[in-house]
Amino acid sequence: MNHVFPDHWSFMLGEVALYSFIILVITGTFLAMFYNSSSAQVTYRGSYHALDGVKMSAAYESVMHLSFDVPAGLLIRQMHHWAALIFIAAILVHLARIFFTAAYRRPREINWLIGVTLLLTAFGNGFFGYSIAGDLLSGAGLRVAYAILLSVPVVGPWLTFLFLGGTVPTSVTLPRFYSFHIFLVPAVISILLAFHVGIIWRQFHTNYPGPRRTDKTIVGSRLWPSYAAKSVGLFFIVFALVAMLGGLVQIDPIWVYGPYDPIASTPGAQPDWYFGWIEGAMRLFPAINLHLGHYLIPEVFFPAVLLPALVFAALYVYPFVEQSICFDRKYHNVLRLPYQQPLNTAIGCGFFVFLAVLFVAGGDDVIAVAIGGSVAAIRAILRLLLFTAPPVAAVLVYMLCAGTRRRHTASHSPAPPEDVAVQEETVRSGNEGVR
Amino acid sequence: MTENGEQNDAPQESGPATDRNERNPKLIGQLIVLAVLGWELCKEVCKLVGRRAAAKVFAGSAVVSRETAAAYPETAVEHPVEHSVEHSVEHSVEHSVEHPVEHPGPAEKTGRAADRNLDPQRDTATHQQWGMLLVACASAIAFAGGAGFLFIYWTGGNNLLLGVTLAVSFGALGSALVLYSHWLMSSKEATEPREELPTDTSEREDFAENFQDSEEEIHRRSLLKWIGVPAVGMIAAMVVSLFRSLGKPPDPSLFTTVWKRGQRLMTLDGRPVNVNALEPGSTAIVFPEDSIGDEKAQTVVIRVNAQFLQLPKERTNWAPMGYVAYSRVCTHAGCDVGLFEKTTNLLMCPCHQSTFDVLKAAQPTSGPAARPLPQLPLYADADGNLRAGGGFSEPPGPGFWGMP
Repeated sequence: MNHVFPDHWSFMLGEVALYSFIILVITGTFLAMFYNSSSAQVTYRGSYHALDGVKMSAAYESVMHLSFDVPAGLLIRQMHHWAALIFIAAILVHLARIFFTAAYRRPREINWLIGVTLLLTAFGNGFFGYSIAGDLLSGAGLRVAYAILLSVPVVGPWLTFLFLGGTVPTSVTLPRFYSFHIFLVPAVISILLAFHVGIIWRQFHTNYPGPRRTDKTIVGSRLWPSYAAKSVGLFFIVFALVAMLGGLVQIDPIWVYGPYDPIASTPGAQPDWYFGWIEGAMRLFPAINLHLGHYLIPEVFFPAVLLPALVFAALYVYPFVEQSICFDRKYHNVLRLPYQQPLNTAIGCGFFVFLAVLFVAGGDDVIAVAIGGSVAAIRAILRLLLFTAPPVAAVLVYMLCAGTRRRHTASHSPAPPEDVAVQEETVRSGNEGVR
Repeated sequence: MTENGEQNDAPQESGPATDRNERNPKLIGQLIVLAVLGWELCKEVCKLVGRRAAAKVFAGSAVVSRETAAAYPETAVEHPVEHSVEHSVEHSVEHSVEHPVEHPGPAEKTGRAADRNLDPQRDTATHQQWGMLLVACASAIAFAGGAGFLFIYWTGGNNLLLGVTLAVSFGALGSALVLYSHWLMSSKEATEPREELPTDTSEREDFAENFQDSEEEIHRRSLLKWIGVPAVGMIAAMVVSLFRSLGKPPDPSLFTTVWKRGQRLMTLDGRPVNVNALEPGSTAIVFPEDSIGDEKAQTVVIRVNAQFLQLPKERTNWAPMGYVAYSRVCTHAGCDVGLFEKTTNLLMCPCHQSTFDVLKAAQPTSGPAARPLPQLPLYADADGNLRAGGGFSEPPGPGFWGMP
């Protein structure tokens, strides 16, 4: 039981995500005791004077009450939102670490699939979470989400009816979202997390290349007591970071946005940052819709449904594509460093630049105001960058990595441990027969 | 209504401002008490837990810091180790020294940060004393933070201070654990053989064999089929039927063009719009008289100079005296097309910056929207009030499969 776990800062990223999830459950339980998902209209009489006498939904009022009249309520609410952002950020950085060190190779491709699914569910629950506050900004987000869901060919109208309860965000939308947010999605996340961690336990962690680290051994510190103490310590430190942000840095100030009003939207509205790339794609995509006889594929379908679907599909299939292209069905327990796999690293960096350009495009109106340019001009530049920057970045990264690899092979340093591992593997798989 | 935020600004200033004046002295008082309390607690805990360690460390025998010890192993090994070996023997119970001084043999330097684990100084008593001091300090801060949190909570509960004290407390607690692990636990690199994971072939063969063996014990296999298939179908039908409880199918309401001929245009406060109400270049938000405030029905009516209008032929009589009306729900993603630019006669959506030309039947001119805003035919009744001449030219709102 007292397994060995390797020590490296980059191996803590997944733990940070796990601990943010625990913080989310703790703070969320507190919030759920005060939240009311009803859209019945009430008149505000709480201690935030600026909105005194304003008509609002009971949902918004309950969040206002929680924020201003419940001791530590605002702190817990802000901690919950910050923890959600850290959860998703940690998953993304963790995913990048896995990708750039090729930890998704056999036998860990199943865990890669679970991890990507966890990212999807985290995205979904983030959206459900910030939508149920009933404020003006999240209301605008709901309407855009409605348009996106509606745009799906054939089943779009039925999906909106299933998720939103009607043709516009209606009185049943928030109860439905609340149910997804606190029950369905967290249950899915918990189950997936259990499998994710269980599989790591069964398969052992990977090791970076180094002395004595081979595909048959694992080097690190024992779970008990050293690793356990550090890991529990990390939990408290993540908690502290979330508490610090929740106490000091305002997030989602719904009293500034005001209650949801069906006939108001505000300029400069952006979703939470992890949807920035979809928002950007929606802005950059040209005004094209597809008429197929009597049917229509609206313009939002391509950037807001098709593109994310393709991105996630690419993430899902990547390990299997690599396996089949490289005929690599062996088990790998020693990681590759980014420079040892220039093509992977180049693809990853190009992909990142692509998403980064889309992310910037998601705030093009804000940029236009800040630098005094026109939105149309900024869009033209970003469209150009979207197709030129990723290949340029990929080529540069490839050259950099390949150069580093050449230098390493040329220098007198001992042969990279990667090679040792490969040799051992070849011997082993030779006995079993390469399939 | 877009000015919601602005409306709120004025009272917002006055509200918390008076509050703040009352709360300020209290806040400062709390902070001072907190600081004093924290300092005292820190001192006490340090005294209690770390006195011996601190005394030892500062007594002179171990002036050589860990870094110096690492840099000059030969000088460091002489004094402190001897000294601390005695010490660790003396107080072995209190210190719970699980890892007595060892001679770890030749160190294997890799140039990595983990090399410090190979430091021969690592498990000496001096090292442990330093570790103890650090852990004690961190714990003291954690206690102080926790006490501060309790104090703040029970004396008003300022969210900012609660967050900071909670962060200090948990941050220090976490640091204490990490320091404990780094200083007071052996973190010698351990090597463990990986369990052989069953290979594809062996596992699959086992599984298939097992499966087959068990399967042979099933008699009357066709019965299973006859029960199983209808059962699965039935359960699926039951589950899918339950979705019906979630509401009505959406399709009819998606196609509605909302307005009916003869309905008056009403503002949000329930007044009809007269043909003299607007100056050229100004706008109003209107609704059908029986559904004021309805999101899908919201319509913007704009008065423009009639001679510049370039409506299609069949719509020429839709705009009495230069009044044109369009759906206010963006055809792109359903936001409110809330901005009107008088000089260019463009309606603009604040969400994704689509623009629509008011003079040309709201055709999109830039941005991601591909379809024009549906237009509402207008006419003026005998009293000069504007009325709808029929429904919108198309169903309003974002596009969908099956939209005409």
